[in-house]
Amino acid sequence: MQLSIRNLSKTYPNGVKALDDVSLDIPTGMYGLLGPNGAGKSTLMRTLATLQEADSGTATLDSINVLEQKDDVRRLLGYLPQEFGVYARISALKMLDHFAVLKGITKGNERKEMVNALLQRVNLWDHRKKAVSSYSGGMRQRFGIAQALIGDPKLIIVDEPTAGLDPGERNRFYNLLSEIGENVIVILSTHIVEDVRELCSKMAIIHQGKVQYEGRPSEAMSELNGKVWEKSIAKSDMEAYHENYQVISAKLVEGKPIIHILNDANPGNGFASTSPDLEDVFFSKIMG
Amino acid sequence: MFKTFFNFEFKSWIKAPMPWIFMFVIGLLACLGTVSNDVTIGGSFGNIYKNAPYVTMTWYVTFSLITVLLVAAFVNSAAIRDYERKTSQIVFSKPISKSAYYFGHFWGAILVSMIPLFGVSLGMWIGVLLNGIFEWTDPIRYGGFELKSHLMSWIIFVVPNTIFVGGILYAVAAKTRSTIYPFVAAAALLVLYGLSQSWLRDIEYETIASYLDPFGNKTFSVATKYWTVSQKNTAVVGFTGILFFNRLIWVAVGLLALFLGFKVFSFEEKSKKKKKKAIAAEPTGLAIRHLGTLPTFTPRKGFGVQVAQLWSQYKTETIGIMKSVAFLVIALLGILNTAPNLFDANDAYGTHELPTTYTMINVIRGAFYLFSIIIMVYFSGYLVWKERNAKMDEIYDSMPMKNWTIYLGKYLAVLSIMLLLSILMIALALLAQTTFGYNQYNLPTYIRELLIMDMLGFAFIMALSMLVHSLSKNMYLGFAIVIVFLFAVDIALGAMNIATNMLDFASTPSYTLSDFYGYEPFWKGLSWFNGYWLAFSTLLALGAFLFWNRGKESGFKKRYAIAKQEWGGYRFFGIGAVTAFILIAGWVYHNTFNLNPFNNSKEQELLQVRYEQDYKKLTRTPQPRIKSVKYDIDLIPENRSMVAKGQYFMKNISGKTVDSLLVSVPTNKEFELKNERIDLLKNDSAVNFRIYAINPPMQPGDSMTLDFTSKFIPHGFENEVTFAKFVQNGAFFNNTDIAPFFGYQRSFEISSKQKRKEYDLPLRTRFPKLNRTDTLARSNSYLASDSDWVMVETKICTEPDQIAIAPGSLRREYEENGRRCFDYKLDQKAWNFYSFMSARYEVARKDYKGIKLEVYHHPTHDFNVERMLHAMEKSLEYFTTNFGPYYHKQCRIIEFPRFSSFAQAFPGTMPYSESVGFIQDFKEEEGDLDIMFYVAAHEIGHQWWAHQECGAAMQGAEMTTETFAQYSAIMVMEKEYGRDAMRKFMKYEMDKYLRGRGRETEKELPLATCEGQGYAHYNKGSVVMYYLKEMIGEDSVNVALRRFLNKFKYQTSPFPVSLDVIDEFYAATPDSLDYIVKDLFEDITIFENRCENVEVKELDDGKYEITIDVSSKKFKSDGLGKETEVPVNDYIEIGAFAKAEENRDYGKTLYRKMVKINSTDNTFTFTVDEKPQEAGIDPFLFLIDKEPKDNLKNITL
Repeated sequence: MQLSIRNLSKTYPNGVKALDDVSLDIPTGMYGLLGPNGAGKSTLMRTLATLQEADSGTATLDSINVLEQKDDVRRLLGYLPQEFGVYARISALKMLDHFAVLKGITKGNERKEMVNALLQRVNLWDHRKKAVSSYSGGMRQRFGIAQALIGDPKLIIVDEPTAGLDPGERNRFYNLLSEIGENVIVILSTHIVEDVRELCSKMAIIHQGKVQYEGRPSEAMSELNGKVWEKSIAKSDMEAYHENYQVISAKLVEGKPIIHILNDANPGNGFASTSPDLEDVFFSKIMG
Repeated sequence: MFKTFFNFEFKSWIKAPMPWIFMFVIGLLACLGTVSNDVTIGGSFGNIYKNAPYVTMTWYVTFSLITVLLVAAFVNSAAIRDYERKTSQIVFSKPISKSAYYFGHFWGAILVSMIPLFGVSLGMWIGVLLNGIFEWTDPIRYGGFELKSHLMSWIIFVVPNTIFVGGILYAVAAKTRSTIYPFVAAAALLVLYGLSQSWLRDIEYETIASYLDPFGNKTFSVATKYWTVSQKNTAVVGFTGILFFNRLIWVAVGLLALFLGFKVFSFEEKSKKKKKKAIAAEPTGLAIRHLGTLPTFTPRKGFGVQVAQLWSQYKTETIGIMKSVAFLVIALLGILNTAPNLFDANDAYGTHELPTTYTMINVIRGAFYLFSIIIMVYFSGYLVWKERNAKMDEIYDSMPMKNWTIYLGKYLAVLSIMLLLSILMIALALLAQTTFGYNQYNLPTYIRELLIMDMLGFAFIMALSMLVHSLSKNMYLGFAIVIVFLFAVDIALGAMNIATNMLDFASTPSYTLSDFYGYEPFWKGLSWFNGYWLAFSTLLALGAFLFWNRGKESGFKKRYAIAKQEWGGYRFFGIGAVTAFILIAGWVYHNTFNLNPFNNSKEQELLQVRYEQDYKKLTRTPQPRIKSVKYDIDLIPENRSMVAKGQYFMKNISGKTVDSLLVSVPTNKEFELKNERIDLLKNDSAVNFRIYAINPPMQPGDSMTLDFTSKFIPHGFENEVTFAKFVQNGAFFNNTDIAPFFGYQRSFEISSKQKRKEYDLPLRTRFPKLNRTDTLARSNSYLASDSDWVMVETKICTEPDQIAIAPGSLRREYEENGRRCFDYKLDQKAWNFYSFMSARYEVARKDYKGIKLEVYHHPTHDFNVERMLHAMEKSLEYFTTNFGPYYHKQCRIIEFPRFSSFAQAFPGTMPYSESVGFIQDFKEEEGDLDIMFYVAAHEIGHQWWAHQECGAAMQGAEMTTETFAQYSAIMVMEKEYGRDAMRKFMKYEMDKYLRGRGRETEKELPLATCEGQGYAHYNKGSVVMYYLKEMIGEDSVNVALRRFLNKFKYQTSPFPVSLDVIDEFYAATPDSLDYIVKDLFEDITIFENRCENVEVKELDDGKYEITIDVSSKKFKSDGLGKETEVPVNDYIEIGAFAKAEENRDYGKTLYRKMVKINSTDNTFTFTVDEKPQEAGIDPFLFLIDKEPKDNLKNITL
């Protein structure tokens, strides 16, 4: 199973170019979509989730034309949007049951088994009779995951799923995803580099609607081998370094800024070589 | 701090739709009440302005009561929002003050709760503005905008009531933290209020009740009880006395409850519990557990799956609506508004109406539908937006279900809710019927009317609403479009004079059900038009399927592209729907435009204008006079057809040569006129007018016969059913529907002053001036201009199981060609004005001194038949004794279907509508007069007054007929029920007269010159004749009437005028009382009698001494209501009454005495034997009184 995106473009009525000639090949397994906020990730995901129309280009999932055979896509799809709400006054159990019907699990016993399993899986079983609107943020997110997993989806799209989750929960969520992701396509959109490094065998970096990089995270990092240099500097010097070097990141360690710069050869001036991480890749791509 | 919470509460509601929706609803009601002449909510009648200060205050009192449930919704949500939204932990963990939190939210919510009531002022204001433009109601019914009355209403009612209700409910909500209990408490408040008011209804407890009414309603009505019309129009109730203390007490109660609520309210207790729960919600273990692989069931597809999805959608939505607060509140309000009306149906004369299914259906439509329509409009829009409002649309829209299943699930959910509400109403109606002991349950009619016909109309509107919302970019915009559209269609079509139901969204031919024919005459048209709108609604639904707002695209181009993709799935359905619509529309068009063309009202008016302009000049063309008529009528009720052949025998009594015949032919029918002497000169079929030349002309004294054939054969179905007179069972038509009449017809002219101006027609008097010497006007009675007294012979055939009736005695009944035929002939010549009917009748018979009394009625309508026969007998007895012989050999009351609602007198025959007297009325209240008895006596009275003499066609004509028929009825009632029982009847007559003169569009005239003004010749006539009788005696009145009658009985030109009978009254009246005749008949005389004070002393012998202070003023009024005070020097009655017994309106008369009063203020003292309840002046309303209600004063011992 493979999702092929070819020359996908989309411009919003306000002139914002959300997708600019995007072409990607997404195989089964976890696929990371990395980009800063507003890069066009959500537009791409919504387009794949049949919620938006592209101006031009194609997307095919094996033999299915994603942009036109919406119904067929929806039957294979599990979608967790970045942000979602729920109806008031309806329990998680009933809501999930309704979703399962809408998904096409119309046999009563099958649906019951599936809904129960999902509720247990996301640990909402004890709270299944409570209104989803009364759930805390984490519980609500778990509910979202449960609904996305209904009906054995072959294409799972999760948009910034870890927002609002604590680190433990985040880990468990990713375990679940990677377990499922062995045989299906899981597209994970995020602006957190760490997530992609931990989970994805393939990734793309998107910035301003364009694909800046597509490939394996490890390959991306090895491309930068020997090109990333770091130095601990004084805060007051920050500006000067930015002028003189191609600074790709700056973070605080024990209150002092450590900057990473990109340079083919040793720049001297107290910079030390460091092994590149994915973050360096990310920043180098989006600043290029 | 307080301000923060206050602002938060206030601002969050200001942005929410609820306060504004309710304001809109209340505004709509107030606006309707202000512009409509038929709605009298708010105590506006007669001369009281529809926007008078009194009316304003009554509206406010009423609404601040009804809105208790709204207050509940607002304060409830203020009290528990933080718990519901789980923000309580965050909020309460902040360093906030408990009192700022508690009171801040409270006052914010209180302020918001009052927003909807602005609708009252706004609605009344807009109503006055709109009426200024459209003049639905006479502009004189409005006064200026009295700001003070609006302000005082807020100070006296709105603010205190909201604080009272809000305080209690907020305390309940804060304590229980539940959505349900505050509503239970609100309902409990209302129920307790209702119960206490009914327990304290008795006049003895008036003062206690004034204090105890927490809403100030009773207090207000007691305080304004004796207000005169002018006070109601100008004054504002004073914020003093009991009203002030009442308000003080109940605001204090509300605040006390609020304070007690504050004492027991605490952040701690509940938030602790919440924390525990919250901890429990986050287990320390794994949040997402690995429990082996998930079951892998693959989504199915196919039609079965779609049906299952539809069902799940439907279930979710239906339950969702039923759990929503908006639904519960509106439905409850609707039920509260409707139930009292179902359980208490009173008619015009205060007698109880029979709770028939028709009555119940009308009550439900009138009182409940506004609420169910609001529910429908709201939810059909809200559900379209539900996912997007909940931000669930992204999940939802990426699910693999079809648009039609979502749409239909939502559509059916709202429809089911509507059905459920209607079923609930039917259950309530059945309960009400059972309570009344009425057991003719008519479930099929309830189902057909409320659950099928009405529901279809709702279904069409919902389809429209859901399409609009699918296309709209915003929910509120969607609501606005739907509401504006529904109103605008009617207005736009009206403005363009388009009358076809095909363009008026969801409209179908109007119809009236009857036990006689059910739906039969209307069925075909109704079915096709409903089919037409169903097909149209299917197209709307198809549009919604294609353009269903799914996904995140909002641009039109993209949505159009999506719709094009969707079309593939709906191709066959869509083509089928379009084809079906085109076929049905074509068929409906063919039937309503080709087969049965119709005129819109504008075209009709233009024809009237042309008729007047072209033919008025022919007014004085001499015409022959009809002397006798023969009919051969063949009715085919099965298909609503009729073929009538007739022959006139005519004579030229004009004294001039008659060389032309001006013929008005019956409308919309095939009609032929035959005689060798006549030639058609002109056939103006648009106005049904023909001119024939008579050759050789008729010389004076010459006579001739004229044959005519009139056919009515319906083809297909019509836009609106005309000629509902020809029906499958219960045909009822007049001779004017089948036979021609001669001469220019003044009655076809446009009569409205305004319209005449519009068309540049000359001013038109309603009647020629009263003038004894106008012999031309006196040559015709006001009933006919082409005939005098005629003989009529009829052969009428109908279906074998129906009885057909024509004027006169039945001479023969026989079978001919499988039809049932009847021959009738008049025994006594009569006016050329009578009816024919045919139905499956049952007949009740009785003999009274050789006169056959007969009641023809529908087999199940036998409730009042015995009483009718009794009334006929009593009437004939009084009239033959006092007025002279009855000239017919039969006296018939015949029931006709309820498409019209009246009773009418024809010679020896009185058709009564099904809805008048047959399915109405009369839980028999012993000793209490009933309207049925009155109507029967009145119509039989016409057998003398109209059918033996009839006034000439000039002013005052109806005084010689209707006024005396009223007098006749009053006398029969007085004999039957006694003199003391007339109070109730007179009260209603007075009320109708006062209302009527307040609605006069031109000017009121004294009785002697009245011009077809019903309030004068009926209602004032009753009052005036009754006082005359009291003053000069029954015998003298009857002698005068008899002398008048004998002079004009069955005479032709000159016909009598009102002055002829007034002469007789003068002759029968002692000179000292001559002024009375003038006051009553020649002037408009009005009194202002009032009882100012009553004092009662219990005497040692157990008797009671009563002292009353009364005031009397007398006025003469001109036609526009301008009054001039004249000295009072009249005989006026004083009296005292005991307490009314259970189920009685009036107590025993303890004292009544006529006294001469010649000054304004008087005091009288008299003794009565029993404990009195009320005393005062002119208790029986002998004299026209500006404010009859203040004549008596209650006695508190």
